[in-house]
Amino acid sequence: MQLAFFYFFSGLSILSALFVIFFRNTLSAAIALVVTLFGVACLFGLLEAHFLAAMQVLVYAGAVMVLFLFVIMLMNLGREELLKIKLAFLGIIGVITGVCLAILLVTRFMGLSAPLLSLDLGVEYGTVKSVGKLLFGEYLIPFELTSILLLVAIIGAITLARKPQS
Amino acid sequence: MKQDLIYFLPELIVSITVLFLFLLDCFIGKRSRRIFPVIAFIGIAAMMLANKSSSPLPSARFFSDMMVFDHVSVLFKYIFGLAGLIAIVIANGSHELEKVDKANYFTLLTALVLGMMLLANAHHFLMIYLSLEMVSLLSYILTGSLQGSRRSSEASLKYVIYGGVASGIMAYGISILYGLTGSMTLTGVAEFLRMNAVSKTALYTSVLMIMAGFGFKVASVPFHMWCPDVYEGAPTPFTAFLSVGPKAAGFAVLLRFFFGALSQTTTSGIEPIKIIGLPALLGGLSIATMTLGNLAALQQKSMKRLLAYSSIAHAGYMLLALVALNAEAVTGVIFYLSVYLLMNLGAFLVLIIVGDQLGSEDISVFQGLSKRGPFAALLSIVMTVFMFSLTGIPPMAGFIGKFYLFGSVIKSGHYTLAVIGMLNSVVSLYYYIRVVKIMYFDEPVDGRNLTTPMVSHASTVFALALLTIYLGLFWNGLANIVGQAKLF
Amino acid sequence: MFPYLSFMTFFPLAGALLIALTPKGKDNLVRWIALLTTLPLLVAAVKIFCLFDRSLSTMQFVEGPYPWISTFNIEYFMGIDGLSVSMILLTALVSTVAVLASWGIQKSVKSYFALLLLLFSGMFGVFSALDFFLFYVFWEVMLLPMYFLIGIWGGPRREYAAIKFFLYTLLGSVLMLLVMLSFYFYSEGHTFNLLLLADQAKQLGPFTSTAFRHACWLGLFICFAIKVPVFPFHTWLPDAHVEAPTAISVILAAVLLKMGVYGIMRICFPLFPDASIYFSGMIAALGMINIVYGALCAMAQKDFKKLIAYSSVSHMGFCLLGMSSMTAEGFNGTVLQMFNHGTITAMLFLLVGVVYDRAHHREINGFGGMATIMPRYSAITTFAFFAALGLPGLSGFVSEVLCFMGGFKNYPIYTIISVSGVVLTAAYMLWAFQRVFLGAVNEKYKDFDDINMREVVTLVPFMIIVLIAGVYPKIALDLFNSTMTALSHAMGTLPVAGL
Repeated sequence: MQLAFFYFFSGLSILSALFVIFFRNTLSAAIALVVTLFGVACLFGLLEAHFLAAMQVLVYAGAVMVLFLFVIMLMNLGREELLKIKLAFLGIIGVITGVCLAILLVTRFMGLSAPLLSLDLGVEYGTVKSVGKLLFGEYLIPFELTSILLLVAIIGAITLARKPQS
Repeated sequence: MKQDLIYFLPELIVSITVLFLFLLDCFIGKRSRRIFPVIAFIGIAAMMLANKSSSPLPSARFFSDMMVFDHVSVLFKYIFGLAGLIAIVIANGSHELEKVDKANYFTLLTALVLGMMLLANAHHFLMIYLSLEMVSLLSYILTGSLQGSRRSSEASLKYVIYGGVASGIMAYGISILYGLTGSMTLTGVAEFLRMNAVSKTALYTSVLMIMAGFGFKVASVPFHMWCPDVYEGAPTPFTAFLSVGPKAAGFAVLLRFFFGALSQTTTSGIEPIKIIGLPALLGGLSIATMTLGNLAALQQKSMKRLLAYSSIAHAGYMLLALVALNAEAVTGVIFYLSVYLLMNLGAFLVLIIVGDQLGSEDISVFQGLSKRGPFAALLSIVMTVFMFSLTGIPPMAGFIGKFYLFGSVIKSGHYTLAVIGMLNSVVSLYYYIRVVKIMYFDEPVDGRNLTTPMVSHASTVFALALLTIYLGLFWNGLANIVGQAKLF
Repeated sequence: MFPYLSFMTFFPLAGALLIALTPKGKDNLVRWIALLTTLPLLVAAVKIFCLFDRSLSTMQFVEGPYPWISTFNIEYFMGIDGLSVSMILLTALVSTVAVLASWGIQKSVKSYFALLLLLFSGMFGVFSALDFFLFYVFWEVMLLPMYFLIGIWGGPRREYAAIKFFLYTLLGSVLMLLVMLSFYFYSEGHTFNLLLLADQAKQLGPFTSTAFRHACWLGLFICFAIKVPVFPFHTWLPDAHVEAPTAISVILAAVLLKMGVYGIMRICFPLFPDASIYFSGMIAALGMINIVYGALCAMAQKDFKKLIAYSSVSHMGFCLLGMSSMTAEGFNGTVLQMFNHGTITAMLFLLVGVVYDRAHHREINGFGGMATIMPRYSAITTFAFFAALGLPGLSGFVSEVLCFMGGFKNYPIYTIISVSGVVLTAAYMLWAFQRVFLGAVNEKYKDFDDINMREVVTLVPFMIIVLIAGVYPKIALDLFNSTMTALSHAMGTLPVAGL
């Protein structure tokens, strides 16, 4: 069962990742990226890493993509183009989301909500607490490094974007 | 002070310098921008002093095995520090960087040094990945720092795309390796591979994929394509740094990866793991890299592109030593990187001095350089030293570097590879000596004389040349320092 | 004891630095500094000639071994035996003459003489180094000044000739470097000391395999063969000789070519006696090719200097033939031939330089009747030509006979074919002489001055040596006889008589 889910979601991610590359329209590409990230989130879910799955959806599919879309919108897309996308692509997204929801509901009601992995992971596994402990314990240094990395990335972005001094 | 903290002191000092510079940028006006290079310089110099105090300590691992502090990382920190210091001196006062915001440039340069230091210490694949990204990210930004220059932006974009692909492939490779061995630390992987049998194909695939990331950093074939374009497009003072700093960092992590994860210590010394043909893989990569670099360099018209291809070729020589995978290889690579730092930065600095005054970066700008006044005559001698040193002719330091590298190859018994490598260095003579030839044998195209540049540039370039000759004759001191290099 | 060898090696370097520091425009001062730097070398050489103990086959005037790079066990170790002492004497003489012959250089005099002195340092160093690494460093250091001397002060195709010279030699020396590294890693006690390495028992690891020994021998041989130059690696030589200024041609022919033969006898033979014997047939064959092919090429030349260049190729073939015998007389012949070729060819190049300075061309057919215009000049040339073609009574004859005697024992057929080279040499030499000096007087050149005092001074020492070595060769042979006998004993005898 979990194998089928795995193949479905990974196939979904890969397919939509290819769409990101091949779509000429930036908006369509961005939305395909949402699907990719969503697929990855589902994979996390399959691995019982629920917190990560939620974060993936919230941060990437949610916040980051919203920023992306904002930027794209600001770049003055024509109205017709937007309409085209709605018709051609958003439908597909809707269908996929719908299917996912349906699967979720069916598994709920059929009583299939037992963990998909047969590993004994302990009660703490995948909880906010355990992730937090790891992040601020064993992985403290990478965490701190990431913060510096993001900081210099921001400064760098500002440097590149700032108008040249006269 | 706590004993453990001394290990981490160099990283702390540079981190504090970076953060301090960031903050300073918010409070200081446009007029006192000159203080930024000074603070960056002091910070990095302080790091090197702190590094000295941590060098006699035994090697240790900290932060749950995330980082390893050993003699090799200390040596690499010296190399990065020196590269950083010289890069600051070079950048400060360069005409090309006049329009660039000094505050950000020097802050980001210092941060880049920090990234390289962390890379040299990394013992965990997560740390490797993150610090590699940090180095890459800052390299992209600094490459594109010439605002309004099409070439610079184009180079930066190319760099980002190649870099993104390379690090993506590497991340995938790391995940496969993790899947195979269940460990993310280098020694953990080695431990597992010693005890257990793994799928040969999977291991080989993962190593190849990880090599994409590292090969991208050191500019080895087939991940070298960005190199000439980025070197050409980036502001020359940064190109100079790029050709030694991040390359050295790439080799630091390569050494750790191959010696940490993919070899084992036996009674006869370090040996590569037997399940996959590492020597064949690395030997092939190295021969391809140096041959391509050397052959492509023959036809270049731009000096920066020539030096770019030459840096690819030099990466090939150093990869050749990795084939040996013995203790001499570690020493050889570190020794080579130290002298390569001197001679390559020197060659770039000459190019910057000449290019700034004569307004071109083509090889033809060197035409008749020796006849453009007394300073130019001196500068031509200096450039000749660097060119011969890069070729590897005694009594220049570059020869000793090659001596070490090929020594390790001979020691490991790969004679054919050594012969091919040596023949490559004969080919390289042709393009290095072309620069010498046009400086001395040709006549200058116009009557312009070279004036003496700012003191810091002039003194640095002469100091580098003197060191290049000095280390070619009396390298015992450096050999003693580098000879103790012990990994893990 | 006074460190003669270090003095001879580093004194020119000091002179070069002094020249570099002289103010601009003082060309005559520079010339005098150069001359005053080389004269003490000549004095030192004479001292060495007097002090040298001819009965010993071991190293003399030894300095060191002092540790230089202790991590790699590299030592500063100098010393000379009979083989090197003859080369040191030749080098000292040629250096002085080269400075005198360069007196007329006008283009950037300061750099010229500084580079020339730097070159001398390298030459003395090569002949006295007993540490492989030290030897290699001097060997390479010589390339740099040579490249500039040909490239800046040479003829019209100087850039091509200079780069060709550099590339060929570097190609050879990288092979030497690899062998040198192998010796370090696979010798007992990890050493570069050439005397210790000659002990076969100290060569371990892969050196116990015949194939590896043969490969290493070939690597070294190619390196030295390029310098000699041995066919088919000789093509750089005519270019370099033709383009180089007179003094540089003299040095090239008289000293640099000798380094190839010297290297073979100093390194290939003692370190790999077995491989040397194995390949001795090849050496003899190459010697034969060099002799005949070089002579035939010389005959076809229209350029005076190119003719002499190819005659060098031919004459160096005698050295190869002599050494292939592995006997004392063959070795003696080789060393004597090296010395004689050095003196005779130096004379020939100087003589070409004399006429080139006046006519500004070197077409053999472009002269004619020079004997009537420049009688003294043609007298000296006659002397040199006869020496070159091996007239009995002059030095060339003795060494050629010794080489043939050595070669005939083991390789009679090669030797017999080689003897035809002597006839060919006589043919091209006399033919060239006839075209240049005899016949109708070329009207264009009838106002030429005869050879001047400075030019005669450069030639006379060579003439005296050629005469003495021809009449009484013992004086030269005594220098290296004991060393060569010891070397031939160390080599053992050739097992099978070849062709």
